This record gives sequence, C-alpha cells and structure tokens, in this order.
Amino acid sequence: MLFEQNNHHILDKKHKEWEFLHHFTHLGYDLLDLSILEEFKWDRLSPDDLKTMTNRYTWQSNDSLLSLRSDWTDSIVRYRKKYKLQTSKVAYSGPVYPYNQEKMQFGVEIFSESISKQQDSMKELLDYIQTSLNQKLSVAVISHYSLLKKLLTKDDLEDPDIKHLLRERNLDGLIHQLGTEHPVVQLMSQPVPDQLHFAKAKFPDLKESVNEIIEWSAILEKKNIPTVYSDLFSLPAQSYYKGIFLQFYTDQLVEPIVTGGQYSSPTKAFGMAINLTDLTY
Amino acid sequence: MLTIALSKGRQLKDFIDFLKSKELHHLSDALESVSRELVVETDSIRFLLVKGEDVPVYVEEGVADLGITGSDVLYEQKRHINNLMDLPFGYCHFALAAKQPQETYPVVATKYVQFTQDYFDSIMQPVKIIYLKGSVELAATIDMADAIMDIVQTGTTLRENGLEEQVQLNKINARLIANKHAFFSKNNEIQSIINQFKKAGA
Repeated sequence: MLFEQNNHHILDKKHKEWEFLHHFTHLGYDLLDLSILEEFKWDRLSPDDLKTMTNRYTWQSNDSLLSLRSDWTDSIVRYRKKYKLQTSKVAYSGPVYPYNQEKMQFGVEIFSESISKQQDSMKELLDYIQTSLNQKLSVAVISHYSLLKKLLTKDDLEDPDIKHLLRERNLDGLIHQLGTEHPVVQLMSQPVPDQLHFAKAKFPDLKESVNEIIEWSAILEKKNIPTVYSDLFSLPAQSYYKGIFLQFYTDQLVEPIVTGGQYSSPTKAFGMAINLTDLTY
Repeated sequence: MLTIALSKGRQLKDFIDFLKSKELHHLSDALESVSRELVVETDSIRFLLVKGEDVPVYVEEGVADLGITGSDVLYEQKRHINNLMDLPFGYCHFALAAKQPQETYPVVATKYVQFTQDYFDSIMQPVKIIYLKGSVELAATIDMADAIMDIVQTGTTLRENGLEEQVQLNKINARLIANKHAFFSKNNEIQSIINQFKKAGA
C-alpha cells in the first residue's frame, strides 16, 4: 500500500474540512456540530420524519428509533424545533449516510427571511466551491416549490401516480391523468427554455414565484455558471422546503455537487450544502 | 454529441424500422451495419448497444444521455430518469397466464416481481411470488406455480407451453428516457431528437 500517498490524501481531506470551517467563521458564521447518531421517538415522528425513513439506516433500541444522520439541513431543522439557537447563521461539516451512500457535507444555514441575506449566503458558498475547492460549476437548476401547489389540487399533489409522473416529466402519462387542457400539461408541453415566460404570461398566480426564479437566476448567471435552467415541475423532498430550490452540477458527476434552498421550519431560513464524495475531495 | 443507449435484439430492429419511417437514414444505415460492435458512432450521435434491462442504468448513471427501453423495464426498476415520450413500437402487454382459469392464483412465477406484487395488492389477494430470470412458462407447465406473470405479444409461446392468458393487464411499448442532468444541460439536442421522432412519417 502506498502509505505516503494515502497519508497525503487523508491530511488533505482533513485540511479542506478545517479550511471550510475557518473560512466561514471569518465571514461571521457560527459553527455547529451535531451528533451523527440521531434519535427519534416512535410517538413523535412527524410526516417528514417518516418520509426520510426509507432513505436512512435505522435500528431500534428500547423505545427509540436510532438512525445515522442522512442530511444536515434535516438535522438542523429538527434541532431548531427542539432547542433555541442563539445565532442567525451557522456553518457545519460532517459525514451523512443516506441509504447505501456515504457523503461529506460542508454547508451553511441562514435563519432569516431576508432574501438579500439568503442570496449573500448562496454567493459565499458558490465563491468557496469555485475558488477554494476549484470546482467548475457547469449547470445550475433552479426550482420553486410553491409553483405546483398553485397548479394542482391538494389531492393531485398527494397522488403517488401523479407525483411519479411529475418526477419523470412523463407528459404522455400526465395527459392521460389530467387531460390536455390542464395547466401542468400546457406548461410541460412548452420547450424547456420557454416554460418560465409561458408560466408568467399565462398563469397570473405564478407571477410572483416566476419573478423570484428570474431574480435568483440573474445572480447565478453572474457567477460564471454557463447553463442556468429553471425546473418548474420539481417536488420537494421535505414539506418544509417552500420556496426557491437550487441544484448545481459539475461536468464530472451526475449527482448535484451543491443543493439547497429556502425552507420554513420553525422560521424562514435558507441552507445550502456542498455534497462531497471521495471522487471530488 | 448525444449518447443513446439502445436495447439489442428485437427492439433494435423495430427502432431501425422506426428511423426509416422518419427518413432518418443516416442513423438507420449506421445501426444496420452493426455486426458485433457495441458502440456505433455517427457524426452527431453515439449509440451504445446494451441489454434491454440495462438501458435505464446507463441513462441514470449519465453514461448515456438518452435511452430507449420498454415501459415494462421502467415499471420494474423505478430509476431516477426522465420518461419523455411514447415510441410507436415494442407493443405488448402484461398478462397473468395459467393452464386454466382459477378463482385465485396463490403462487405466481415471474421476472416482474414489482408489477406482480402491485397487481395482487390492487385486487386485495395475497400471493407468493417466485422470481425467475427466464423460461417462466415452465413454472406453470410443471405446476411449480399456479400462474405466471409475463409480457405477451402474440401469445404463441404461452400456447406452445399449454398456457392461456387469464387476465390481460397493462399495455407496454417502447419509451424514450433521458438522464435528469443531460435533460437540462443538453436540452437543445434532446429537443431536436424528440422533434425528429415526432415528425410525421414519410
């Protein structure tokens, strides 16, 4: 085994983690560390907790359900529901274990409804990934989780078949389920680059959300990301994601390297995380 | 350049006929010249010739931007892909087949475990599913199972093995699928392919 090479790799990884935390404390973020072992009480599981269970390693110990942390934002949301955090912005680093995977997340959360503060936080994280981690972001996909709530009934939004068809952008299937005149079908029938303007022109209820997408997209275009697309049919993984959601890709990986967005639990907030695997760090 | 994963065998022949019907001769000619190659390149498209069940894997992993496979394969695998459009070939359907009609079919042999479980759940009947990779008809012929769940095109194979279709289920056809990332990053090229596939035939 080439220990010299291995030593260098391990030191480099630890150094990058230290550097990330150091960088963001200088930018005024407080550091947060939480246990990788998470405990759930059977009688206090929320619908969002239940939803994550299929994507977690879990085991039972007496009357508790134990799990490994699967996502930092999810852990912070649950922590803030239970305890008061005396800070408006935090940075963190640590491993996460969604089912069948091991990842390292470096991320930031800002507990403020101020859009400009949220956008500043996004820019700081993007600057870090582009300059300090030398990652070239090639594609940004921007969604707004309030859009589908305005186009579909509550029953449709909870229908697993419709959710599956939306997730796969299966237009034929949606026509079959909803009919050709349905706003979702009309919007999805447009070419992808035209969908945002079609939504704004044809559906006045969507105007505010579409304008928010346009505003956030303009910032991303200034960050030297060659391709910025809006995905109007994205469904949130958790119900607390209620506004803008962002995914950033490099040319090397299929999975997004940065994800995050606006959420509301227990107050309005914004969080983004860099998802690193051994391939990238 | 776009990379498209295609299923070898019968579906490839159907796809070549489809390309001819759309007057996409530069693509059909390239695919017709294949003998044992697994990669075929034209000036704008690289085709990967793989096993039908592997098409969604190549697409989900981003090795291929697009793929063509049956809706039966997609139902069974639940991959993270965009399921873009119906293609007018590969028509068949799921069917429950047995030697003779029975009130219930407690043991069913199949390659399609997910579909079979969902069907029996939908009719509120318990079922024991025996997973087989091929020659599924044999399981019912030699009474290892009460029935089989399989895809049926003409029904000839069933009849030759002494089985009859008892319940006709979901229709199946070929679908064009896309990698979720490529769908955005190569949207212009993908839309151009979709437009050519939708173009009225010659």
